[in-house]
This record gives sequence, structure tokens and C-alpha cells, in this order.
Amino acid sequence: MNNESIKNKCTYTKMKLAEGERFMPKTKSEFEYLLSMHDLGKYVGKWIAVVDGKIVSTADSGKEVLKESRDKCPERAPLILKVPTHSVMLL
Amino acid sequence: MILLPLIQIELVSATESIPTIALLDSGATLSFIQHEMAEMLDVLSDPNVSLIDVATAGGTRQFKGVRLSKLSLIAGGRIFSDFSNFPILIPSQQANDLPYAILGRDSIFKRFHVTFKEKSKKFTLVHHKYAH
Repeated sequence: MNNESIKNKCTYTKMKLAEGERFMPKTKSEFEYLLSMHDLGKYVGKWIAVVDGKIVSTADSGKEVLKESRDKCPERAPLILKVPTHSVMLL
Repeated sequence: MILLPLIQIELVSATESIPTIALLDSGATLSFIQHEMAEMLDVLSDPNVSLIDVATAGGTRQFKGVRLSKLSLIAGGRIFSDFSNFPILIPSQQANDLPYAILGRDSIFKRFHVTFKEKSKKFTLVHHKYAH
């Protein structure tokens, strides 16, 4: 994934924010989108960051993913997780 | 196939706020986060960290006990419940790290009636005030 395509994914919903304010993720779409992804298997065991329903950073280190996702999408609060190995049940 | 009941949460420390996911574990008496997540939240440098022996399926393991400023439960894009000054355990060594955060019976299960619906692959939370 190149930086330009990631940047585009992060900015299409850009809105005015107060200083220091960040969006919470659009949880329902992001979380459910994430859990329904059929190709999530390639990320199993890796840390990922999700913004606007898209994976914007992956790495073996959570800290690296957090930093990279904030660098790429500074106005968003990325969903950070290590991809589980099992299937999941939704709330 | 056994499905894992996962819920989105937000972990808040004095310096960080990180949305992530957690496993609802009715078999866990306490709640846990990953060692690496604790590093991201910068809670391991807290001078009040305590060492606690916990009996696990794999034998007794040592965990670090800290308090998060807040743990929030999120569904449908909204925070629907907060736990302030939340006690959490962290594996003392990264080699013994957890696959995800775990919410045990010390938190969400005390506030909500939790129903696992295996056939529909869902679970529900009903606040005990509104449960019959």
C-alpha cells in the first residue's frame, strides 16, 4: 500500500475539528467491516490500524502501527488491534 | 466452529486514548490488556504498578496490576458505558502476551446481563437495571 493511496483514504471525510480534537472511528462500519473481511487471514498475528473502514497500517509492532497511522491520519482515532486467529461473534 | 465474542472498547490512560477490541470472557475473574498495548498507553511506568500472581489454564503467571483512567464500551459507533479508574492486569513479560484485551467478570459482567447466542453468532448486553 503506497502512502498516496493511504492518504486519500484518510482524507475523504475530512471535516473541521477543534484544536486537539480527533474523530472516534465510525465504529459500526469499521468494526463490522473489519470482522467481515474475507482476506483478514493475511494479517493474522499482526497489529493493524483501521481508519474509515480501511486498513491503513500493518506491522508486527503495535507501537509502530499506532505511530504510522497517526502520521498518515492525524485527525482520526485509529482502531488498533492485533488480528485474532479465530472467528468472532458480533455485539 | 466456536466464535469469539469481541467488543470494541476505548482504553484511556493519563497520556493516551486508544480504541481497540476486547474478548468478553465469562471464565476470567479479572480483566487484562496486552503487554504491548500497555506500552502504547504508557502505563507500565506508573509507580503504583503492583505484581500479582494469577492462576491461568497454563499455570500460575505473574501480571502487573495498574489502573486505567477509563475504559469505555462502544457499539454502533457510540460509547454506551464507561468504567473509570479501571483496574487491569498486564502480562509481566511480552513473551507471555495475550492475543487481545480480555474483559472478565470484574467489569462488564457486573453491570450487564450478557447473553451469548451461538446460533445467530451474536451476543447481547442488557444493563441489569433493565433486565427482568
